[in-house]
Amino acid sequence: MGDPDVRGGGVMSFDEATDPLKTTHLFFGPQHPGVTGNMSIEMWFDGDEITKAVTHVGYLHRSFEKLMERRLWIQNFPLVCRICVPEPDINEECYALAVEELDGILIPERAKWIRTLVLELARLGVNLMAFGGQAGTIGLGTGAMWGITLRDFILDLFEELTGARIYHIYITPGGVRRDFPEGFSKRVLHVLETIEERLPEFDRLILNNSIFLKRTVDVGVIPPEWIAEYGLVGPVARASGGVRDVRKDAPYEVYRELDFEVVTESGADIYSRALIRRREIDLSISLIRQILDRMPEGPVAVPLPNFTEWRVPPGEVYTRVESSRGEYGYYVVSDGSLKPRRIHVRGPSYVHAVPLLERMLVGANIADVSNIMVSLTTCPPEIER
Amino acid sequence: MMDSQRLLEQVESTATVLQVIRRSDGYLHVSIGSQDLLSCLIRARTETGFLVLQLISVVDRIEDGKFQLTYILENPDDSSILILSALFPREGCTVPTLSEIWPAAETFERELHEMYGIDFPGNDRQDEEFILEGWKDKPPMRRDFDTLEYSIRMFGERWPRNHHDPRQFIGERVGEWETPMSGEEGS
Amino acid sequence: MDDMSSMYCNCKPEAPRSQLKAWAKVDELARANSLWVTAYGTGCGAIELRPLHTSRFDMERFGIAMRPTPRQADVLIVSGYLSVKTLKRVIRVYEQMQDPKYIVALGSCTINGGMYYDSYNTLNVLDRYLPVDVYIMGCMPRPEAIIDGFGLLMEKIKAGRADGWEHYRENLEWYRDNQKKVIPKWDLPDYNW
Repeated sequence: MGDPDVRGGGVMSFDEATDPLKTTHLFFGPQHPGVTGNMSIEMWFDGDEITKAVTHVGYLHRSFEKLMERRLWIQNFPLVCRICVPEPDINEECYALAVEELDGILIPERAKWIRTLVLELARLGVNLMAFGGQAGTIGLGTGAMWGITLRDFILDLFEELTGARIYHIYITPGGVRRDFPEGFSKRVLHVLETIEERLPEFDRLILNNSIFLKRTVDVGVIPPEWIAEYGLVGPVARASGGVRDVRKDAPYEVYRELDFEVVTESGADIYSRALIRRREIDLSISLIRQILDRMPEGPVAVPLPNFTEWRVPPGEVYTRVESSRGEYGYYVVSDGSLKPRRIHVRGPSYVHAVPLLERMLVGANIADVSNIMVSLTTCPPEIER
Repeated sequence: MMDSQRLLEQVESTATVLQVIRRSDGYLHVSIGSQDLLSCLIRARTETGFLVLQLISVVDRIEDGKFQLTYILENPDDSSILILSALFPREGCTVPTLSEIWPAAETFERELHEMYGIDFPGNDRQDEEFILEGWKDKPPMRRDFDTLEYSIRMFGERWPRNHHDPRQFIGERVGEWETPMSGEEGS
Repeated sequence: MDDMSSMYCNCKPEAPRSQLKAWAKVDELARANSLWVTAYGTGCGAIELRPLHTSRFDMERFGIAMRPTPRQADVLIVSGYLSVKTLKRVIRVYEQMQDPKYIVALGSCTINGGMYYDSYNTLNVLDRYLPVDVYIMGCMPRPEAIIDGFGLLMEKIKAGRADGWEHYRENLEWYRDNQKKVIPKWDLPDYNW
């Protein structure tokens, strides 16, 4: 990892770190199989050690925030889910929470449980993909394949419940779009069993693999003091000993009633972050079981005002939800008209992929770049939106 | 969870609170005078434990000729949220930078500089391109920038779209459309 | 870009050599059954390409495989809306690919802008900038739809109608004009193969 003083990023000046006589200039991405999504890193390195890294984002900028100001409150639901591709439900949840808080809508009890179940299923899917993907970056493609295959079972459940594999548009203000189909809980449990059956094999493949250990232990270390400095959230903070989980700190929906502990590790390296993902899989499975056990009966949605006349009362609100990458926030401003005044999406990757990654990469080896990137599970669409 | 009343008193001791926008347990949103913004943010960080800067956002209050800057802070110990808003004039908007205090602020300010044209003197990287590349028009997130007109002018359409006003369109389809809750707004 | 000019070819691309008709048939058959795809996830459709690798959908049974570099690939998948910034990179990637090459565009947003029709940063009509051989509609297209689209592309290749790359070469000026119109910071060389 190089000299710890250099890793701070403050020792070398920009000119020194990018000296054309001493360093080589390299672009990593956007067309690169190791990059998460569509983003790129411009880096300068001396030998094998990176002296300076600059993240470039904006390849996926669709100006969601501008478009949402032009659409009715309800028309924004198909838009918000597209902000994060692997886990769209958190966006719907965040936006629905904000609209409900502004308009004073109270949702039925069963809708809350269903929402929590959907969020946990989505988290389970992403964590399976991310845990396997971590192995994929160092050449263990089998792990990545297994993760995606297991996630497909969950996508099938989503398809049955919502009609779509990826973009569900299921969590709407006032509840959820429709109730469970017949026998759905049984099929959820069956999928959980299938996943649980394969997990020990997964562990043997990845966590006990000596090459994986060699490439991840003590690589990409994030010191705990960076958590507050950069505002790190989610698995990245939890792997460095920070106990930050919105599900526990500011519970939404029914997380207050569920029995769980925040998963933390203290290794602060890539291995710890992979371990967090692995333990989050167990946690999600246990939460889904609890939810299915205790789900009450009843209606799943309350009637909403006429969408074309729906004026949400003026106000400002900031809502937070825990995604698989950490805290996800929506700052929603209404001025009492038919359309929102301003919606600002705060994705966890915003700080993870730009300021943090630029600092982490200084002193790292070139071969570890995509490894580090994937361990932060950066999701570019939520940076540029 | 920090009591929002105590928090409000602490903010009031540093800054002139113009309006309390929203408060509940562990959540306080106040609008303060723009001259007190920097001192209030620093005090919230050093004395009240709001160590984490979650977000810097801007609302374009074009009808008043103002930009509303919103700073969302979080206390990592008890996860309470403090939101400070301040109004700045829209033309030639200059806002003090926070990049010395929070390293993450640099990125937020870069984005706002690009999207709204707000100047953050002291932020070395604000002129670097962040999301857009070679943008020549006015900053796109300003309310007076018409994105549909720009899109058609720059990219054209394959065929002209049929635009329906949803109210009218659904009304035609369904006949008379009832508005059950339109009389009970603002409750 | 001046110092890098030696890295690019600065002459117009040549027309392909005329071939024996019978040999062209063999070529097309071989090409249709080994489509190698550049690993460039330009948009959200890339998430549905990953299940395609796995045992469930298994696109390698059709001879479709992912390649890390454009130099080894035949197919560029434009997986969804293209922002102006990405378009420049996609052009660079596309022109680096070896002939013959095909473009498959995923999603409604490549056809007419889709739900981003009024966005200031996404293209509305992709085939004004790049020659698209197959459009796959949907938002987002399911893996089955993508396989179906590839089947269509294979049929087109076998019938000798997947000639987007030739069209691009013959009408390079028209494409370049369109590209330069939307990309404000054009710093690519005029011919970069």
